[in-house]
Amino acid sequence: MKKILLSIAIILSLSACASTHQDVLGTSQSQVQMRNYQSRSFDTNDKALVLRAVVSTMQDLGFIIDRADEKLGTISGTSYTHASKMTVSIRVINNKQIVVRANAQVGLQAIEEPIAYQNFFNALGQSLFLEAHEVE
Amino acid sequence: MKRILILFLLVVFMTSGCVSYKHYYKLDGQYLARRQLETRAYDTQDEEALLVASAQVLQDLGFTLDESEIKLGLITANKDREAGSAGQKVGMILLAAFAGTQPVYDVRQKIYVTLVSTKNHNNGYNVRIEFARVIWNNMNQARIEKIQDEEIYKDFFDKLSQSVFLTANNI
Repeated sequence: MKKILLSIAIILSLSACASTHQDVLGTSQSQVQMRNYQSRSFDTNDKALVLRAVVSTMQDLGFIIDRADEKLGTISGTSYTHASKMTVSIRVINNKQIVVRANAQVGLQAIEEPIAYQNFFNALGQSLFLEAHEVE
Repeated sequence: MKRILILFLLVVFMTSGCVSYKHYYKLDGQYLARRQLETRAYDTQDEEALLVASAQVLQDLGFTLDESEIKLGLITANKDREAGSAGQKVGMILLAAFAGTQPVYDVRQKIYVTLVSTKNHNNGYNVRIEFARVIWNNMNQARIEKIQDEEIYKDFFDKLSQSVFLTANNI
């Protein structure tokens, strides 16, 4: 029995040994995989429109905006309904599409569940539709 | 011994277990009502003047501005204040004394604000403001909450209406 306990203790202590490198540059999934579910493209080249829609969506979701940079196309906020932080960045591609990328974390952990991002982009899609057609 | 082992494993799995974020960032049924509570329309075409007036009101209310990005119509601000009334503290201390436990009461709070202006379809501008706060108790534990008190939002917009009027008329 002692042996079992000892081996469990060793396994656990080994699994806890994440290096600094892993903390700073590591993710638990491949970069391509992550980009995939953290990004969506929209058929517009209006940066201001998309950025404003991002802010409005984040407000609908209970975020308080912490930082925003129109030139860089980034917005960061803290959610007070789902205690978490999120950064959204946008970039224009071929002057006809805008790719929106979001990444979020809760406490010390990155959110790596695609569904959470899917929810966010669904809300953003709705907001873009509303604003593009000026329906309130 | 087996029981202890099972208990130990359970505790380990519970602490290392995954938390699900599947419900995160989903629009709930209340978001339109919240948007309405947090938004007012102003009959002006001058977004900059509206934002200047908004910043003035926030300063009147003792906020310090964190960030402003006029091209997005955005202002963020915060302020630190005491939390909980003296009466509440005394009450909690007395209760704890009776129960023989450590009293827990709120000591400070940080209030955050996001204010955004957007063009509306009536050729004016909408201002949307959100208040949220982090509250710390005497044990240094924090909790967060979105402020949904209708009166607070109404009061703010009344003040902004006055400020827009004053600013516009340059008194």
